[in-house]
Amino acid sequence: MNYEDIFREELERLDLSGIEAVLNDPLIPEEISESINIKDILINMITGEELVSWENIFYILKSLLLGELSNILMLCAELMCICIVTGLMTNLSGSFGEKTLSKTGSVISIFMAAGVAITAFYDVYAMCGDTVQSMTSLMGASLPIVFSLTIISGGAASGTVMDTVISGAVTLFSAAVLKILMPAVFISCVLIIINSLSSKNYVKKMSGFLRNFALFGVGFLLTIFTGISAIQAMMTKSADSMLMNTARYSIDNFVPIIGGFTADSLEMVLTCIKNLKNGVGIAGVIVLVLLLVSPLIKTLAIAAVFKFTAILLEPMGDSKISDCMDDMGQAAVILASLLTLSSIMFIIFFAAVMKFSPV
Amino acid sequence: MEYFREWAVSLVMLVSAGAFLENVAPSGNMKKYVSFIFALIILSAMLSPIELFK
Repeated sequence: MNYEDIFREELERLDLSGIEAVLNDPLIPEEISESINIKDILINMITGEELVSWENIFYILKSLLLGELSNILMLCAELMCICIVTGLMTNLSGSFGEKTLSKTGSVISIFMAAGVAITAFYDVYAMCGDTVQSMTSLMGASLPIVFSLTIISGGAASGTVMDTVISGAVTLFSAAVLKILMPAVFISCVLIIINSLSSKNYVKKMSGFLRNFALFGVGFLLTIFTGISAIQAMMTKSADSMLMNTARYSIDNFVPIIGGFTADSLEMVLTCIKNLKNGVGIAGVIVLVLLLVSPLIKTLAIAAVFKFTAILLEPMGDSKISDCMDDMGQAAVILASLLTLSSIMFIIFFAAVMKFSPV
Repeated sequence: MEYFREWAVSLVMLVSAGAFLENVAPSGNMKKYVSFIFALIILSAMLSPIELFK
């Protein structure tokens, strides 16, 4: 009986179908999800080999990035054409005689540019919402496994308490991000486009306020939930180590002959299960990062397109549309940072669960 | 949240209508009054979520 055998035996008994279902999610590119297997990660952890083949993953990511770039250039070209026509009309509006007609024409072409931009932004926004949803279901699938392993390996108090706290925190956080913070960013983006229709600034400050509100909100939630998890973990850790040491001592000394062997083998099994729990936690973190990567690259690419369009439009003379594109790029960057901060929050939850291990 | 979605839609409609009509408003004295009226309408639309606090 050595550690590796006990580990493999416990691994067979685990039900990892929930996590593997998340791996089949369309947000993770198929090439990556085919080359990764949760059981292999766990077994590699105990044998000391490299967890996943990182070169393979980097290669796949690089080819993804280049594919995205070609999609993005199409969008950039569309936006540029519409905006150049707008600039032309605005600058030459005097020579058309009837001033109202050409102004109406420029308003309509701004509407067209807005349509293209909003469609692209809505796609990215829906994708980010789906990513947060998938991350939540990943947490929902893997947290019961991790908590049952915690309770088995001796952390009865931490397991039960943290189960409630962390599940509640995950639900609350993902509901807040999906229902309040991300729609705020989207509404801010729509308002900034509308603002560029007229020369008078109608709703510019409201859009800026909504954007800052979203950023502040996610930072605030992150701080609160990390603080709660850390404090809870500290409180229950001492109770558990007390329990474990009492159990071990009493078995060792009060059971007559086989007490010593029993206590030691018990400790060996519990350590294996603790490593298994950490392994599941690490696998969960790896899947989280994989979920995050592709949407993040797409969002940042769209943000770069908007900013690039703003730069190219600036010499056109109509500063309204250039500022509008600039602010849309800013909103896309804030969406990307919302996504990153939510995944950091979930990684912190995993780390908090892995951290409190008695013995 | 549906409430805020509808609020945003109404705000968008009002601002685009205001921007559009400001262009076709007759020049001269009427222009000032037209833009002031639209500013008041948009202001009241922005403040309408206050009824949630009643």
